[in-house]
Amino acid sequence: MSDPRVEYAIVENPIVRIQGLEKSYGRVRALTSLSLALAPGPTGLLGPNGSGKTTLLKLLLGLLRPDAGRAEIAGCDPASARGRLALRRAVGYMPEGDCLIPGMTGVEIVSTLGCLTGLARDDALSRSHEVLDYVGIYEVRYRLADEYSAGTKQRLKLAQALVHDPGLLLLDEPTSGLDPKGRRHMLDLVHDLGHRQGKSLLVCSHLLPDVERTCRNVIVLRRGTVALAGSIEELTRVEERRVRVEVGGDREGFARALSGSGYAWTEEPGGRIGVPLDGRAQDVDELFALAAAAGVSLRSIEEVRCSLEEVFVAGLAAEPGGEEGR
Amino acid sequence: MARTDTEIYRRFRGTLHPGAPGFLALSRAGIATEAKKKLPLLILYAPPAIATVIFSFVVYLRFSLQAGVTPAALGGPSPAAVIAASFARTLIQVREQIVLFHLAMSAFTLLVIAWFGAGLIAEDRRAGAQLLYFSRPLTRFSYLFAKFLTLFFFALLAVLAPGLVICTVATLASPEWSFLKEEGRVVPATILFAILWAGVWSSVMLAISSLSSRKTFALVASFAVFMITGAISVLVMHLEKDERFLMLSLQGNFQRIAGWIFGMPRMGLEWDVRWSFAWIAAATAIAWAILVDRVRHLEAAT
Repeated sequence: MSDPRVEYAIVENPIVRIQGLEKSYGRVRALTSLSLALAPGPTGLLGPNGSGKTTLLKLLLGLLRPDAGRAEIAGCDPASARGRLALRRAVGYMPEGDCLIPGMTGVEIVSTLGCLTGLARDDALSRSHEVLDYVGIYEVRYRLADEYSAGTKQRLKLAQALVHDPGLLLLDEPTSGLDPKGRRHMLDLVHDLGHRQGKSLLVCSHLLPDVERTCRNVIVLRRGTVALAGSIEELTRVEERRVRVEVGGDREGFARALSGSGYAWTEEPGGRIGVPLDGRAQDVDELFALAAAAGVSLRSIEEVRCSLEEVFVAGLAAEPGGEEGR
Repeated sequence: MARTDTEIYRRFRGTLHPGAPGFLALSRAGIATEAKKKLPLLILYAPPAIATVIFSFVVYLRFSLQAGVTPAALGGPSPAAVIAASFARTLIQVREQIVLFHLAMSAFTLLVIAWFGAGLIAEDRRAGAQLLYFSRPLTRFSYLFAKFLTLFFFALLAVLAPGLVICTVATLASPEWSFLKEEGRVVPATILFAILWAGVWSSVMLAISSLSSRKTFALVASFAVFMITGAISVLVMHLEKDERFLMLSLQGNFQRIAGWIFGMPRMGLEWDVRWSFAWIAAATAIAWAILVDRVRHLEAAT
């Protein structure tokens, strides 16, 4: 835990705080001394199969009892019966698998679940229409949910999680089984909830681009413990600052000018030039000056970041026995 | 960005009621959902409804004859009319009509319970509804109680409502409220028996549903439990010529309990009624033990 990227306990006003959580199924250890604090805002929960993501979600909802440790979610303790009921009012859960209430229409499902969460009947009904409008389920809301397409079912699950307007949403594979259009719509909704509506999200997903697009922070689980955690911006920032430059004009001349000024430039895909910046305060300005001197124009300059996938793989491989290559 | 140019996210401005009992909301939703299926409702409740009319008419006839209102064939006040009234008073007892109704309609009322109860838990599991329920502030007990109340409602509709209709007809047809004065205990007996009957069968049916993965399987299993135990007990009783073998089935025990509750020694079943109570208590306890265990697994599997 000496790696500052792994240490993630110091978070102001955490919405989820977990200390030394352990859970085993027989001889299989699902979570091992898991400690983390979840900052408000959208957070992605990543990890390979069997890493403990689903167990963590169940523990957060109070559906499982931990063997050791404690957790606090939205100020509630899931270990106590009263705390469990309180936290389920404060949390919205969108399950991964297919789930609906048989024999009910979309609006009936959402309003029934609203009533179960403590909304009055009239409130539950009007609120159901609001959230169904938000997720884009219109006339079809009056049809039996069994007849819905996969995309509509997925949006219905999001709507039921929102019906009581919770501060924290636990979204388990929100884009699972969606076609590209449906996936884009779902990601738009998740992004909107996390970035515009001020919801705290815990997005459990196998799809790194989904997490990268919708979340600010990420937690990577490996074998029941936190392998990596932090803000995506921090984690994807490369240690050596580099830029990728697209040159218009005499490319070789610009490369010679770079060499002459002591830059160890490299070839990049697409005919671009990778330039390491060694910390000189005005180095980007210096590139423009060199370009002007070489008689070329700089069409684009972009900072090189590593992808979340690279971070994910590195996180898993960080310790002995890491699942390299996944 | 979300395509929310017209559909923006609106904050909930109302208040949550933490004390609201979830089981009431769930059972209300369950009853409303089942009541949407009009054809099964019509088909399943038609036989008890028709029987209610017939038994009510018999009761009405009894009190009419007793009051001297005779059919034209008997020709008004005459020795024949007096004999008819006497026979009616002796042979037609309201409590017997209610018990007869239960015995005659037991297959149909069990059909009602099987139909409405078979899918209550099995279909929830098949559709993954438990994922939605148990992420709400709903305890296992509340879930079970809601499912029980849903089925109990439909069962009571099949057994209590006809009994109360017959009692109401008897009350209104009897001269000077004589039914209430002389046989008033039939009303609480009717309520007690209906609650007992509906409660026990609902528990057993829910347990069967919780053990099944689909409504169809639960229906088949329920028929096996209801019909086969009944048939075996009757068969063994005839083979051994000993009526006590009727105790092997829940129906036989309910027959004995009905005789005891309504005070009808003529039912012909003479074993100690405590055995029957013990038997149905055991069946109910087993059913609830199964339910608690299955729903615990259901919650953990969420």
